[in-house]
Amino acid sequence: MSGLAPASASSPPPLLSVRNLSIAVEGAGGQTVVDRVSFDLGEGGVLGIVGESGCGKSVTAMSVLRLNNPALRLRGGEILLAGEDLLRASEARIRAVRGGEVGMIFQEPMTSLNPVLAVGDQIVEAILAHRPIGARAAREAAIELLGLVGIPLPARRVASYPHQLSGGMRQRVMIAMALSCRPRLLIADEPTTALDVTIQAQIIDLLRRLQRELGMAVMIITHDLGLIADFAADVVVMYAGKVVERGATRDLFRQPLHPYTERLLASIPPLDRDVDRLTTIPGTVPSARTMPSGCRFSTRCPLAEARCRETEPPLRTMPGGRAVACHLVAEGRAA
Amino acid sequence: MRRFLIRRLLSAIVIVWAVATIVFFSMRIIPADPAEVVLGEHASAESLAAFRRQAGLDQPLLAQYWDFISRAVVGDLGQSLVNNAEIAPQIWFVLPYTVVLAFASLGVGILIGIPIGVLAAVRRNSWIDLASRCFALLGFSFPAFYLGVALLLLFSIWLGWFPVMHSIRFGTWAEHLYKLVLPALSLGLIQAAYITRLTRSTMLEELRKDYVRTALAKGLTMRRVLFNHGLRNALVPIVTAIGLYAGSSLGGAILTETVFNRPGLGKLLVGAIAQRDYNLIQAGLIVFALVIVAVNLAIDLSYGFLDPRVKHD
Repeated sequence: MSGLAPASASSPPPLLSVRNLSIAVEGAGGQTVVDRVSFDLGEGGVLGIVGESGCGKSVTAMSVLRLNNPALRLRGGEILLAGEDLLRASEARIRAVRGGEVGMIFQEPMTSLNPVLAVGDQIVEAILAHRPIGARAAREAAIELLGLVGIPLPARRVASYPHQLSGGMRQRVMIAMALSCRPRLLIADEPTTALDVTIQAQIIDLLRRLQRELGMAVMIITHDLGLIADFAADVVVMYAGKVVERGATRDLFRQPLHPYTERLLASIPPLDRDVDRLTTIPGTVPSARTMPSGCRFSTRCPLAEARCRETEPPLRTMPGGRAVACHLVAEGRAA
Repeated sequence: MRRFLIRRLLSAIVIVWAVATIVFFSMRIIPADPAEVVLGEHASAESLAAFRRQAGLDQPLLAQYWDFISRAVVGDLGQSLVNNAEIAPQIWFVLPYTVVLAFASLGVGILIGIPIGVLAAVRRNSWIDLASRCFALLGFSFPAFYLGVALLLLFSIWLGWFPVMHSIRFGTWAEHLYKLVLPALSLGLIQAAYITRLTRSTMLEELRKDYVRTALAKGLTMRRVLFNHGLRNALVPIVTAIGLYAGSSLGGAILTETVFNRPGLGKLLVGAIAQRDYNLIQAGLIVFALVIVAVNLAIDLSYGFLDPRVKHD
């Protein structure tokens, strides 16, 4: 269902279409944190957005619901939800989308819930904001949702406060809240980063089950490619605010094209054999001041040539919907 | 909860005892003889001695102290040195005036301070924020008595909206309320300055937190996010500060009552100090201490309602 290539005129528009999204820090000369990012997500599909800290993946995700820090300003592009541009929608309309058609969960379950309200009340509040039902029915719905996300004794847990729940349980509450109005799209911004490894798998399994049961689309943001390998059908790899590669997860794992993707995959420690040293990508993401004028990965890329540092490679779409931004790949010399 | 209450009550007793003791001895260090103050400087040595004997002031200091403490424990606050009247009824008579003034000024402070503080935090660096900061600075720098005089000058003398002299003792509820306006404003505006600044800074801190983003992501209205989530969390530090401020608020009441010639605990105390009425001063200050201890206990108990993470045990 999910397609990465721009939709053709005959097919219905994808559920979510991000087109040439550019976001920069406020003020003249403010650093561009998201630079002409484009991707599509079809109805019921699962898309992963991958990259290291500061690559702009969270900013991209937040932009869908316009939840970015006000110091970040939209510089251009559009975010279409079923053809409707959310970046230019009215305040009332975006409020209806938030928690209605699009649910969102965040990285820090410890701090993402209001500490002084019972979790049930927080879910009820989300329901009442969108659905014309009474408080009692909303409470019943909240208990049902807590059961749906696998919280034991939901009728009792509904009165618990966040500090009485573990991190994993809190993230389940967040998921219940995000799903309370049966959204068509769930955005999960690093949903497992703050959790224990065993809990991480549980949360991903839960998301996978809910995605199938409810038929909703999921956009999952992570720095851990391995985590979403068998969940997301498609992957967008971002580096320093730009999409460097996108394609079906299976193809991308089998044959990464961009040198950055390749190294990102290589840095996942293998489970089937012992290693003395973990593979890393030397260097760090360049800052605004040291950003090269050419390919942004050229400062860390072992294959970089002179022109990589001078001219920026465009994101070229290849047969099968795969796209990659690398001079060398275009000539068949990399990967 | 029960253990918490018992512990707090015990510490309250110790605090009030300490206050009573300090007041008792410091009163007797002050270089003024109540006998001379009451009887006048031309009184004979015999009448001065008779006064001292009758008031028990000729007894050794520790005997006087024991007499004072042992009677205070059973609620006997003694008699006025000046006119021999029982002290407890006098305090009971004026206490409601002070309590009403304190609550009214707190109401003014909250009603002005919290909305302006919230607005200033939301519209940070706007003209509202700037105005709120000027208002807070002005409030800090204004002594309560000076603000009272300024209000009297503006509203009573220039505009003529309120009477200059306040004879409160007889009147209807409406009259009481009418006469409460200026005193409550003069004390309340200063509290509003504190509450504004505190609300602004705690709200700024709260609005940066993750749960606010979650609340927005649910599609709640901005108003609901601000009040149900942001302010609800900011209340704990705000209420704490109001409690800490209760002491200086009562201190402000003394000055305000004097400026507006309004009956009250403060006015009673000022009169007692002018006349070196040891017994009345002692009694008044003990009541002050009791009120402050009670307010702080109430604040502590309110945490249990404001923040579910607080358990009193």
